[in-house]
Amino acid sequence: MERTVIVRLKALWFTTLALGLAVSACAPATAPPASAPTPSAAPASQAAPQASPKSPPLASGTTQAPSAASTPTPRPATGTGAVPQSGSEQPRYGGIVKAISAFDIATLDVISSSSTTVQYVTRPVYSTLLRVDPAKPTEVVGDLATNWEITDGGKVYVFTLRDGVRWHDGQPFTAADVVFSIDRMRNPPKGITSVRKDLWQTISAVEAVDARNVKITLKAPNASLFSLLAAAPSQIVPKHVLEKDPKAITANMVGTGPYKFVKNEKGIVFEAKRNENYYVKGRPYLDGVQYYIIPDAATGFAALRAHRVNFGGWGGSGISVSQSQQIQREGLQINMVRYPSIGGQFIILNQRPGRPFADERVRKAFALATDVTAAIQLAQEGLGRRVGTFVNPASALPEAEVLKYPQYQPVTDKKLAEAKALLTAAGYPNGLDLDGSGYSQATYVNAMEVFAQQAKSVFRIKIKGLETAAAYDGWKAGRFDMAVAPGSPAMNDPSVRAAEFYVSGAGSNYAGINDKEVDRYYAKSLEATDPLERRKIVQEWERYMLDHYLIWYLTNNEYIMPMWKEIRDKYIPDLTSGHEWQDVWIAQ
Amino acid sequence: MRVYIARRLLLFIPTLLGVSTLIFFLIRIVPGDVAILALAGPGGDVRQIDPVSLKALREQMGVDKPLLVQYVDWLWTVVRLDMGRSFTQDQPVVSIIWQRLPITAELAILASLLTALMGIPTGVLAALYRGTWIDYTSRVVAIAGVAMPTFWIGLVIIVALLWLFKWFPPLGYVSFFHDPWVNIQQVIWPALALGYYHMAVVSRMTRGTMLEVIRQDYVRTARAKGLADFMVITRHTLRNALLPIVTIMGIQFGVMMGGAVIMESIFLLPGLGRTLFLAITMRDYPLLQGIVMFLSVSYLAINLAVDLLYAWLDPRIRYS
Repeated sequence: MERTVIVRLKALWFTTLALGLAVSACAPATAPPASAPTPSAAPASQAAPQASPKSPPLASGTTQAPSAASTPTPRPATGTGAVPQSGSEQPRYGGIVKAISAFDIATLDVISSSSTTVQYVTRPVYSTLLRVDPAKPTEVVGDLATNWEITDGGKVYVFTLRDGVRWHDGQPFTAADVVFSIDRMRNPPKGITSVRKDLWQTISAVEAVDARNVKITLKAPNASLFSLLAAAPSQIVPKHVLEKDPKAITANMVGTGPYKFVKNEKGIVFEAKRNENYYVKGRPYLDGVQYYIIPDAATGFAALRAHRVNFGGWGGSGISVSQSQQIQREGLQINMVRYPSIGGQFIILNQRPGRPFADERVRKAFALATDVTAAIQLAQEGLGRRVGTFVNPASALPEAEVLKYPQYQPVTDKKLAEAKALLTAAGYPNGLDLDGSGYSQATYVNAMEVFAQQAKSVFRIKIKGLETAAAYDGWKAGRFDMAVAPGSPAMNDPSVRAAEFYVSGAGSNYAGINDKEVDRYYAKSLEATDPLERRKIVQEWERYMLDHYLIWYLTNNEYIMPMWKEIRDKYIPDLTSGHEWQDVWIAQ
Repeated sequence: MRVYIARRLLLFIPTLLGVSTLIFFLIRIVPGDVAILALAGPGGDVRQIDPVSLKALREQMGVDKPLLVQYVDWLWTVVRLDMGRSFTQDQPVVSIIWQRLPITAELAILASLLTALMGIPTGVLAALYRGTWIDYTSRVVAIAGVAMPTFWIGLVIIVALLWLFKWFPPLGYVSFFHDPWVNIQQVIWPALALGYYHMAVVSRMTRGTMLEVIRQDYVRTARAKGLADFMVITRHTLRNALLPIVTIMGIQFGVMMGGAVIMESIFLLPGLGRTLFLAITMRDYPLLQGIVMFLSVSYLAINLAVDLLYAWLDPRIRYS
């Protein structure tokens, strides 16, 4: 009997081992990503970086052509750390940037996802018609388009496309691809969802004049068109691929960008390699780009410090202030670039009829009883810029003017007394109980805790930290009084921002703002194609919204992007268009 | 025995029916618009899109139908071993499970091995040296393993590797058969963390069963015959004490398969656990339901296998 037990136990052990090996054999045959190659000489076909030819002078009645990709001018980073830009350094070819993505990449088709992660990873593979000038982020220059004319009072645009561009599969790029791509974003085929479809409805028709010219006709003049065409999600995709299979690019990518798609292993890594036939001669410098999916912040930080990755990533993949301090303490050779995003966190006061904040006096009382500056310091480790309701530096109010409003100043007894008086006049002599609803993420809830403490003598805020889906459901249904909520628009354009958050009936207008004057300013902002006039309109608009305490940002998000010292970058990453990977290189 | 097996297999059906009903309706009670979350993707902004597109998307997903209709439709896909298509990954659920399962299984197997390697010797020593510092140390080590959360153990391992060796496991999961050395570097650490957590139970149980068996007459007889201590312990005592340990470890294996979410996230293993967590946050109903059903079937199968194994190892046990 005993011997039987012994024999069977041995048999069990061997069987388990064999099963384990068999199961492991069934695991996906995942090839390890290519390791960083040894420094390579510049490819023979690529000359040293040089200026592209400027556009020819235009006839009268047309706008100034944008400059083609000229020799980039190095611009120092601002804030903590600076990307080394030694004047004597010459870019060198070779190397791979290994970056972190905090989120998995569910799809590679940017039009059917609102995730900025999808935008970032796909940006190096695709091109857009225009792009934000990396040297001057408030301006737009050509990418696939080299030139354009505007006629018919700002309703008709004709873009001239760059010659000699090829898709990564070798097929020629033509105007038909642009028409196809824009139509796809305006009116996606069945089975495809375009999350920014509304933004493209400003276009009434798009057609190919010939192989190199595209004509876009608008329903009405729209000053946001350039921002729309330059935005990272406005990628030009291959007609010849998608006509055969409308979903081809959800898992594969054929673009015209500086990098070619290699693979996207879900949950593991996204990889792209150099496009040897890129239309900007001398670019890109890198052999490739890899994004490793690292959802846990502590793990990502450890991987960065151990030099398993050499680039921290953007947004949610960046590091905190305390982590940046730790890097400095440890003396690691990591540069840290501090940069703003196009969005931030709103302070939303529910102004729907019947709610306390429908009364402007109550909103003003809240502004008097809280201090955004202190909240940023305490809840965000001081990371974040103070802005009003608009973020684009080309049009937003200067910070000095924004800071004059009471919500940006320290809470004093005088301010609290004024708040109390306003509440009494509004019918709340004993203060007000508020239902506070925010994301359960620390920065959101912490900010609400700060407000609750600051305003406790006049407002009693009951804070609820909710999971993403539940939070959005509650805001959409108006089941809250005040909230700290994300406020990142599809692009950094004031009209687009308003269309999402401020105008009556806007999809993300959780505050329930229903103000005819706001809607009027929105309409005016669309029509103002002159940048100076537009700036004036937007600043008036912002003053109006702040004067009536309709909505304001807790903070314009700032991120700290770490990169190991060997990485060189000519520009601060501009999140309106995504990082310009073609200009990144790795030093010796 | 065949009757017993048949009866146990038949009992799978009501159990799985109960699980499927529970998970199906439970996840739908949780607030959140599935269509908007699918468009947002992991970490994406939940941006409102136009109602017409949302309606079309909901129709495509099948979430516009009445709940009972959705439930019956989904049950039918389960019966056909189809399980539908993931909302967020646009792939068949079965193929996602098939891709992720080996990674989680490898982690669970390695963790089980480490549990055995750490837990059994500790328990044996604690039993043999009962009441001494060895026993007390083993108890402290075991209780510490249970008391410390696994995610904390995992993070401590990462910090320790970084601090002591300036080292981090290689990124980008690689299968054992593609590169065994890289694979071991990636999987050994989460297996250690998981194994340490589960070794406590194994250690304490080994100690208890060893103490029971040591008191048996046949062990006294073996000693009286003049057998060396080593032979008495390994051949007569331990092997009989291991029977309930095998049962426990089988159940722990099932738990590890379903509970490796944290370890997979920290150590970057794209296994079933992490996929399940993502499915919950994104309200990916087909994927969530599919994985839960799969884990339920696995757990039931493992329990049955453990019971049968127990009977096979010890012929005295017979199921009627």
